[in-house]
Amino acid sequence: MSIAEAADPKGSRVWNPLIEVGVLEEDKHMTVLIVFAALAISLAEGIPLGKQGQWKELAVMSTLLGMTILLAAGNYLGLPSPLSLLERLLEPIGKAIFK
Amino acid sequence: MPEKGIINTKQFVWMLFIIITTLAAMQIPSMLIMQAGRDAWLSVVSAWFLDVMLALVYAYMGIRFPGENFVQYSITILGKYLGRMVGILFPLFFLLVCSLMLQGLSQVVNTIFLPMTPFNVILVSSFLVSAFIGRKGLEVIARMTEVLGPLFFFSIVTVCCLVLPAVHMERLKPQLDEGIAPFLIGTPLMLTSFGVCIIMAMYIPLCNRPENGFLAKFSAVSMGALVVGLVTALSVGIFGIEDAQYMNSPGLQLAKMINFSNYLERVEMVWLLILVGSGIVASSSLLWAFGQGLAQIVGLKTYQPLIYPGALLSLVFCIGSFPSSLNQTNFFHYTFPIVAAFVETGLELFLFATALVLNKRGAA
Repeated sequence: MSIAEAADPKGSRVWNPLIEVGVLEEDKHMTVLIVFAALAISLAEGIPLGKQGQWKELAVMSTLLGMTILLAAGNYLGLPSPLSLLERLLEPIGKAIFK
Repeated sequence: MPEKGIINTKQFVWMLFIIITTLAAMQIPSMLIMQAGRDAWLSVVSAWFLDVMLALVYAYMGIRFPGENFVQYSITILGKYLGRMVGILFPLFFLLVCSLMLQGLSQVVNTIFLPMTPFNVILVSSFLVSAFIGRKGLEVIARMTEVLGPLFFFSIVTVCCLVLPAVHMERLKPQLDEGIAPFLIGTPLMLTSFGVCIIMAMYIPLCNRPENGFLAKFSAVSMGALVVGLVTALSVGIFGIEDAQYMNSPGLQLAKMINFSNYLERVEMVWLLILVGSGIVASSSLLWAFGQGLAQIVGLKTYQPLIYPGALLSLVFCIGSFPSSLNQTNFFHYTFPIVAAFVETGLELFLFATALVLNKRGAA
């Protein structure tokens, strides 16, 4: 039985993307936590940077936080992370060398 | 330079020692035993030798480009654009190591000591503390390692001395029964873990005696090799290769064996306390190196606003890429050595050769 069938045994036609990709409840909470943490960091670090006119620092920090939110959203939707892609690429080489 | 702090040689040694040993002592011994069997300790010795050779290159580059770390001298050697593309690989590598280290540490704590606590609670707490320390700057990290480093070293050596009577020498024999191939294949596995101390190139410009870079690395990696070699050899001698190769943290299992009749038990708690402290300080150092490197590449005045976002990014890597301890162990065993060899050895030797060919030097 798939995750979708387990979550919706009667087969109602309401489409739920979380059930489709098999997102666990814990992962969902972590994604929300990460988005809130990113917002909190942007406020705590961004406001003093803005007041001091350090726009370059603000831009780099915002880019990092934006990347973090995008990666967290990717995890939430079941997309592979950059490290998973790296692993798919290099693991066969590693397995050929090491036991 | 974004970082204004200065460290001394002693702090330099302990910072490197903590990074090497925390990463190497947690998971590497079992992987090494799986790879090289009874000859695992020989892999540690050969990796130590190769790492010292590599340290010569890093120390030479530190002197050839005074006041510059590898992020900065990659720009000096390769130019503004290509130099930045190569240079950014170093901070990203530190972020990856930070993810692996904290994931491994949290797994040990979760599996062995806090099995009822949700794993993510331990992981998030570890990241929070690491980022808090990392944001305080290099001097704060250096002062903490001055306390934790000697404690960590002497605790492991004491544990090893106390479990010595339980060693069965026959479990360590015969040596080299399958030839030299197993320990030679185990060498790169160990070398890539020792190689994380390429972070020395970030410390050299901030050390009050930059010419001591090689000495610091030599001392740190020698102590690290001693610790890992002892843990590996004793694990084989006590548990045998069949059991030791599947242990989560053989050092911790050794500490669990200590028991003086009924009045001194659970000594592993003290060891774990020091391991967790060292792991968190080592991760904060890696987060600091990430922030400092990125700030230098982009040309920022300060690195501090990048520490918390860096820690959050690292946390997302952990959650997204290593949903279970098996995923992390697999990544650490098969993928990390390839990535680490490319960054630690390949990139640095490429920069070294290019600097020689193009006759590039730093401004004295």
